[in-house]
Amino acid sequence: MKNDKSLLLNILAIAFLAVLAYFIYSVATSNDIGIKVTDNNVVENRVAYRYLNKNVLDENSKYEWGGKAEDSAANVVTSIVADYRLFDTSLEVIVLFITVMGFGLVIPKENIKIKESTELLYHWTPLLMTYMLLVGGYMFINGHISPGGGFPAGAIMSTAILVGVLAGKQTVSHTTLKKIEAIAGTLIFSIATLGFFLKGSFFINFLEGGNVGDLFSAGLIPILYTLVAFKVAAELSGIYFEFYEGGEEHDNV
Amino acid sequence: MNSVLFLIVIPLLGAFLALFGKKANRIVAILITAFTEIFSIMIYLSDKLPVSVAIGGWQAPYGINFVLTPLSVGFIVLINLAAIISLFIIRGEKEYQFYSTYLVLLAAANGIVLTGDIFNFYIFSELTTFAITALIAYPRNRRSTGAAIKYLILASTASSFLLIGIGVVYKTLGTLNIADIASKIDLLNPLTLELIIVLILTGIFVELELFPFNMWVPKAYFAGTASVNVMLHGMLGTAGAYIIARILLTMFAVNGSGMLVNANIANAIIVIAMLTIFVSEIAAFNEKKLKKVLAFSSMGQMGLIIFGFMIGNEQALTGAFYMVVANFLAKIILFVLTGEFIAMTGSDNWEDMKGIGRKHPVAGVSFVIGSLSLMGVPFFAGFWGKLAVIQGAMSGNSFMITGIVIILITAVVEGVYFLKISHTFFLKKEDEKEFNAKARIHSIVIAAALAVIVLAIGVHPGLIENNVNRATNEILNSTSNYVDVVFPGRY
Amino acid sequence: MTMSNIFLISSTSLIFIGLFGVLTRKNIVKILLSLNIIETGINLLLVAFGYKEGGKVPILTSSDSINHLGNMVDPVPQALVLTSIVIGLGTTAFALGLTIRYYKTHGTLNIEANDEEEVTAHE
Repeated sequence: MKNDKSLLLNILAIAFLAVLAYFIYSVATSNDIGIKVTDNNVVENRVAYRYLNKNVLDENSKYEWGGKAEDSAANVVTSIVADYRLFDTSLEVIVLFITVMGFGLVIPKENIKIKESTELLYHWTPLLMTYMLLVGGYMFINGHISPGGGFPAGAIMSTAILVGVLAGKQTVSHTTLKKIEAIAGTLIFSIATLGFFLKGSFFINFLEGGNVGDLFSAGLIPILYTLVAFKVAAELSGIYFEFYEGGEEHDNV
Repeated sequence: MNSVLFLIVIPLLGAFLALFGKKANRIVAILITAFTEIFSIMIYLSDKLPVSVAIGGWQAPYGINFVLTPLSVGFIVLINLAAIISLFIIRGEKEYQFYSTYLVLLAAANGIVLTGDIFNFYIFSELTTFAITALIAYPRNRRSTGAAIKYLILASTASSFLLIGIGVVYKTLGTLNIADIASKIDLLNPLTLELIIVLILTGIFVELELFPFNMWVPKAYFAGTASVNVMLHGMLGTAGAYIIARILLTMFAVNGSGMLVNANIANAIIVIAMLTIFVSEIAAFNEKKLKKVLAFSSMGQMGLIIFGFMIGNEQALTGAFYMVVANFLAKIILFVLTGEFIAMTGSDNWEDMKGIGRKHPVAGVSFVIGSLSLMGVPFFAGFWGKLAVIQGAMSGNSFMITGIVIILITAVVEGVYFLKISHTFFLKKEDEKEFNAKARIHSIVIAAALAVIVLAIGVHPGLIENNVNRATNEILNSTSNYVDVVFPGRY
Repeated sequence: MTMSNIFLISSTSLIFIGLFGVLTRKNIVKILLSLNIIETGINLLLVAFGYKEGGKVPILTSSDSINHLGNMVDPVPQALVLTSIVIGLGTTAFALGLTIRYYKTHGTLNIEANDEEEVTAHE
């Protein structure tokens, strides 16, 4: 009986997906006039073209390598993520914040003992951690001129802390991580608010830009990425600590 | 008007600082919400509306913008009002996670209404999803965990459709700004447009509590505490009503008519709305748990509001906005009182609540007023909404007449079960046992004050007539009004 | 068949596979796996929407690269994908935490298990 029901469910699901697929096929092969989803990508007709040319403020402006521009990050994706659409990125930080907090809220608090690490891991951990922290640090400092940025850098740095946890070394405490998280988050939004008081607009890049391609360029972007990296690292590391840190569970039904 | 960003930034800063505040959290949350409520009322009353605010100094469509129109700011006022009420009826939530999550929900609900960028809208809607999931899961018992994970899976699947829809919009039109999309919608191939509408509609279906995707609603309301119920209904539900007006009737509207650009899809939504009304009222009739009754009735009202919006003529739109306000007020009364009653009797079942109305006549009468307004009895706020929606549907085709029949039948069903419940409250208590807890005076005062407003609007609808007409006029010419705010001179 | 179409078709099929999993599976962990497949498919789809035949990475590396701005792939979908990856990570983490709690309260990972309190016999 149970099998009959699940077979019916599978058939229904396949039928539904087939209808959907036919719909998409008919959309893709439609011959009516107008912009179609299957047309070739033309960057010139999109907002991205102005981002690439860095001429959002002034349509006729041009820029050169090593010269000034409205947003002097050499990595155009970074200049979108952390300048043109900075508001989205700061909300992304909140998404991570609330999901990790929700995770800590719902996970059952049990005392789980971590197996003692092997000799090999224990002694190599400091070296591994140093390299990981260095790579992470490089990534957020250089996020505006090469691929990288705050989120991957934070993920790499939290891996370093995970290695420390696995090796049984005392690196940082859970409370310190919570503090780093809250301070970095508060600073990101304080900088956003500072823009309002300095230039009259929230989330504005109010620092002097510098030259395209320099390490010290793109104004606020490196600072913001540093904060994002620390916040992401603290949040992701918090997940590891939630697993084995026992404690009293509040019952409030 | 750049300062409108304080409506987002201050609650978020509060959410971080709540990690350290121990006992002060509740006070801080109330202060922040009071600030956002007063600030939004000030914006609504100022003469600077409508206005578009560019964030980060980048003009639309290149940067993200907030669009403040009488409609959006009016909804902000309602959402923050529900937020502050939900804080006052909190019963014993102490952990910082609750307040932190609540503040994120407040910021996200404000942002979802104000934003003028479709991708930004997606992020805000994801934020509300996570916040609501965390709030439902907060009691951490069997019921709440089950409800939370079902809601999270359903909402994530739906929002992935929204993201695909946004991707297709960007692929075809090369922009993410809602006003920009609205002004270029005619350039699209008809079938591609249909695909986009279907994808985005699927993405917002879960929040609209519409029929095939609404099985989470009773579970979530049943699992949440009274204050979470008020948040779900007053913040998420109200934002849902706004989403219909903004996404369906502005982004995808025929300019100057308030109609959806694709008549087939509009009809499909009407059918779904009718099904929603029918199914939910029948389910509510057979339900014994008071919270679930209210949840089903909430779904039914949402279906009615969507039905009104989709008819699209002036009367139906006016009716829909009246319904939004009346449903907002009446349902908050019922949820606040239900929380009190359940705490007093220790039972979810309305049949066990005999004698409550005799012990607390003010609460009992407020409950009756709220339910009469939901039924649409004359001289209560809900009446004007239902009347105008039915009048609007009269001028439609035979298809709409079916809708009227369904509305009238379900109104009777609604009347029967609400009267049954209200009658039970005033029955004599059979056993002499005392109630488990005392009713809190401030909850009853809140409920009574809202009941007075419901009565006042019912007797004299002119109280909110101006505001409703302002909103209706905005939606009737939504595309040109909206695009004109963001890109002056394009229309 | 162009490269662009191959990307579109493969990412759409990933989304369909994930959808089938979400619709038919009963085990919560399997549903979450399917959700992750959908997310991967969407990320690929978004990047494919910005793809350009013979396009370059939208990162300036030398004075020469500014002459090739027209050849670069669209950077906006990549920025969107970055956001969507973080949201996907958050969803997965939160949902897995809830799943652990679900197993503790329900004693099963079946999504159809009864949520009402009366049947709590497993704890």
